[in-house]
Amino acid sequence: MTSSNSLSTSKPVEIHAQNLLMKFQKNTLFSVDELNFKQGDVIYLQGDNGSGKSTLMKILAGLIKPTEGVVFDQGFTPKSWWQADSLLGKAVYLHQHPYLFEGSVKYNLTYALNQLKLTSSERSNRIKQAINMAQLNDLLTHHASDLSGGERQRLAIARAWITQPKLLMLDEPISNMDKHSQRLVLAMINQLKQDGTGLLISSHQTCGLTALCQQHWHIKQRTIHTSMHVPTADTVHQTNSTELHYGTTD
Amino acid sequence: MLKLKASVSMLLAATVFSGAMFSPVALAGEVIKLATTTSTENSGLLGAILPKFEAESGYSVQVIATGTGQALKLGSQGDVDVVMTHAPEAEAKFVADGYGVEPRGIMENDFIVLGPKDDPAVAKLSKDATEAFSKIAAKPSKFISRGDNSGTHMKELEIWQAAGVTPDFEGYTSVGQGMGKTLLMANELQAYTLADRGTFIAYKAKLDLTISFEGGAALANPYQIMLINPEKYPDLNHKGAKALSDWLITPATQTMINEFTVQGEQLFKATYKK
Amino acid sequence: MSDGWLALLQQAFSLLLSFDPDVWAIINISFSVSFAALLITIIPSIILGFILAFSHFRGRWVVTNLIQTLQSIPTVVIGLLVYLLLTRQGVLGDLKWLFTQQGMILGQMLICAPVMVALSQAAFSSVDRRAWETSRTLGATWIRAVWTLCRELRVPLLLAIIAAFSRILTEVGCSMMVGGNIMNVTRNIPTAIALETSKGDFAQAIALGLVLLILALVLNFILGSLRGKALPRSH
Repeated sequence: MTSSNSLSTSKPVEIHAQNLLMKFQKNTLFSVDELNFKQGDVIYLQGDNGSGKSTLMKILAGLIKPTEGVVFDQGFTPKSWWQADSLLGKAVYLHQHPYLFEGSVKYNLTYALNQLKLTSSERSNRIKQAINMAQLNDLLTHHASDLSGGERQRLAIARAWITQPKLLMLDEPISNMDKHSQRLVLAMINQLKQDGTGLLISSHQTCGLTALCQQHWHIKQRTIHTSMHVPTADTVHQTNSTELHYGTTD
Repeated sequence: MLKLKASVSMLLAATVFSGAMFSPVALAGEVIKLATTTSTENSGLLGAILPKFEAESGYSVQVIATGTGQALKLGSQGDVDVVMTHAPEAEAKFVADGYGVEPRGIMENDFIVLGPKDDPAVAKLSKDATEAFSKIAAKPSKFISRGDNSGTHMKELEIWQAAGVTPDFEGYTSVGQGMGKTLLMANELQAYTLADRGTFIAYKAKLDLTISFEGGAALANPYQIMLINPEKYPDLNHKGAKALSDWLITPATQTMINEFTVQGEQLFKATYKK
Repeated sequence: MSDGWLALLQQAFSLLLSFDPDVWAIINISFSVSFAALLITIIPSIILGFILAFSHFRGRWVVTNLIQTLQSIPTVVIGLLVYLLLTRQGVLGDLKWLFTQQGMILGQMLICAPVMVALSQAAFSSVDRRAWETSRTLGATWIRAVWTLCRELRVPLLLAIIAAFSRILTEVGCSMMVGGNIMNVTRNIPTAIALETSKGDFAQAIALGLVLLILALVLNFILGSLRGKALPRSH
């Protein structure tokens, strides 16, 4: 990845959260004293359905405000004054069911490129790499709404990858897809890890995905436990029956 | 307050400026806004003579055709440059209040009482308009009133008053419409109504009504043109208004008014006297 | 009333097809005034619709209700309001816009904006929230994100624009009061129809009515085919 130089040369970037408390109506969803998510981290975010994994990721992405607490970033190049205090666009959040914009695969893929100042060769390079990585060659002119679940997820990751984010959060990235797509997505995530992108990956099953991770955040009993030890597939096998066929449905 | 008013105006002007550029009409010459009655516009008189004035003077005349009441109101608010109406009493007040200056009688036609051909109220044999109205009310027959504060409407009320009748008898309908529309409604309902002769002739072909009564001093309908007092509204187009007023009293224009016909009938009689 | 229907219709068509300058001047004024009002209103209305749908500021409820109410106010009342604003003694009297196209444009803007704000608010409320989140997290500025939403919602927004346009193109009350129905300046299709009818001159009224009718047919056809395309996306 020649074009990813910018990642390695600059100071590692970081998102901090302090004294977070998130409530829905009057019920506490979760609270946590401190969280750090920085470039180079690969974090497995575990938690039951409804425990607030997506909410936490959206808070870190700047998409929603926590009920209490502060989230701030460090090390990013300052933006123009009028969006200077925004977290948006720093830790990029990918939905479990990605939203694809009305239009072709190519339109979606290049959506985020227009706001970056790139030379045309750099631009076409990135597009080429993204297409190869996600194996979208044959689909470029297809309408985005015609894609299968796996293809949608690949396109969504490629669409984020193309901006070369320093921090990326993937919400259940390999659920709802066929084996072939799962393998491709795993390979893409692995590539992102190699590039030094900070990754926060949620999943409620342990699998090849969690094996990539080096840290573990676990939302349990309305708090977030952090550790440097990632459970292996054997240690956390008491998954309930609904989760068992999660990865195989399409 | 004034400052606020000015800045709001500026803001709006800026917003709608782009809109003004869509204007399909190139306003080359200066504009004269003339508020007048529907009778002069609907009869086609203004359409026949004003182009000549525009060609000669370079002004462009914008005609706002409405009732006399509204026309005088527009004049007293300074929203138009000149008014031409036919309600002597209201006009006298307009001048006395200091809004109107240089009133000039330029022409006249007359009012006529129209009604169904079978004349159920036997208005035809009346000796004057007052008697005709009394008969209509006594029957009682259907009567359609303009009800819009126009010159015609004011004249109608004047006659009711002279006849000692309160116009609220069964069959009396106030419609709040212009002359043309009122004629069409009277025609549909086969009712009596008071109309100016000009509009009636213009509409004659479309109507199944006839003249039930005509003639007499009470039914004279003089038109006056009045300028707006420059002391009240200095920034109106007084020069253009004066030019129009002066042009209307020239012998050539007066002849044109006399020669204006609809379906072979003369509608207006030029009356300007120095 | 002696004219038969057929004869009237024939006259109407010949007025249109012979490009009678009076008739076409009226059509021209109608469209240019309404287009101007529409163009000025579109962007602010859509942005306001977006804000009402997406943000939760205090008083949003009040604004939403106010706009709903404004939508159902008869155009003559708006005409009266604008008339009182623009008359010499009015707050905006200094502009001298009474009986001008600018005045008509202002009135039509007030008629058109509530419709567009309400319909675009409805459109933005219906949009998949992920569209906004995806755009923003990929680093789009809020302007670009709003533009992206507009692109996603192009069908309902176009419907809103067409609805607003047909409302102002056909309204008579405000145009009559504020414009004054001046030939070649402020006489548009609806005020001309009202006048010609009151003069009993039906051929021209019918010719102009035909223009509106044909336009309504065309717009409805477009709407119909757009609605067909606006089926909800499966994801």
